[in-house]
Amino acid sequence: MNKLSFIIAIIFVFLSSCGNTDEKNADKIVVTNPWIRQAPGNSDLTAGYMLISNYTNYDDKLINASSNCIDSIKLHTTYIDSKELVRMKMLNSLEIKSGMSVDLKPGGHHLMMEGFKCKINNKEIPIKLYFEKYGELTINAAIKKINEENVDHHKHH
Amino acid sequence: MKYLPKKIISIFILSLIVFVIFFMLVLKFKSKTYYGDIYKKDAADFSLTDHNGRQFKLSDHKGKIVLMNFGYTSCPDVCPTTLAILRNIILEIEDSNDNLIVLFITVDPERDTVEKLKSYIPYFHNEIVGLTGNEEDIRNVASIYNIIYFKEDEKSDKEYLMSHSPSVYLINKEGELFLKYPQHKLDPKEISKDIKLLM
Repeated sequence: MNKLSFIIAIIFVFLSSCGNTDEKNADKIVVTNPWIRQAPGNSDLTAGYMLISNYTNYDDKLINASSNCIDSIKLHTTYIDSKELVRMKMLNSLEIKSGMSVDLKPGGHHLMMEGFKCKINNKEIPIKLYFEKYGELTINAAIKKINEENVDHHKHH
Repeated sequence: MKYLPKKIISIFILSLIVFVIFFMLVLKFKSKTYYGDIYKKDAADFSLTDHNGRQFKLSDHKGKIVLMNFGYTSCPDVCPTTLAILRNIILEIEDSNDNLIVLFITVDPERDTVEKLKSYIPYFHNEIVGLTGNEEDIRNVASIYNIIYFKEDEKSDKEYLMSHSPSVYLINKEGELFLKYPQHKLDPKEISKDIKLLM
């Protein structure tokens, strides 16, 4: 009997640890893999990327971002126009519908960052994201050197 | 008799799969050998200044494969992304790099001085050559290669974004502007295969 209880307990622990991500994150906005491309050379300008998933039951909008370490963070998007030119424009907000994710990635939506105030050897930078309904969410974005970046940039269109 | 419809459906699905595979193979063999879009016109010569302050003349490098991209260093997203792709191409090619020249030509000579390029370009790879010149030189090079660029979102003399053609161009050993990789085709592995085929 003890053995049976033990097995049941093990199964229970296993099942609860395998819990559905959606259930774990219910009513949350979750940011996955936030990263910032290290500003090349003497440049003080770069971009930040991340996957934002909305597990709440309402549509929301990312409306702003800030950091104690960065002078200016703006929500931007890169797009190709009808003449095949690459262009960039500022976004007032970025909608993330309930149950959906929005990918901020190289060559697409991104956080344009300018003016780094923290020490260059910082591995992570705290960033506050502001959502219209969800409110404030603080994340730590990893600073990636060129040799730490993912190769698959071409899938950004 | 009862199982006949199931059997027919299975045979039908199987034939469909075989047909699709056959069709894809035919398409693969019929399509052009190169991943890039064929361009094929003479690559006009030009002369600019590299990020070490030396003169760079395209015709001095005939017999080598040249990859060429236009951008600017005050570009937060797409230009460093393309430079990271160019870096990965160089890493893919490895030992044949003596026969490959990778150029990043600024469309923003006002801010992209030799010093600015020198502090920026080698970060991605020390074999990428950053090129600049005076405004007229850049305008001429861009115009012979049909590159469009203009200032956008200009807040001040020093603060503006540029719109520009993002494609990477490949000049072959014969000095022809041979292949073009638009932004959606910037795949380091596939571009490297084209380069190896042309070496």
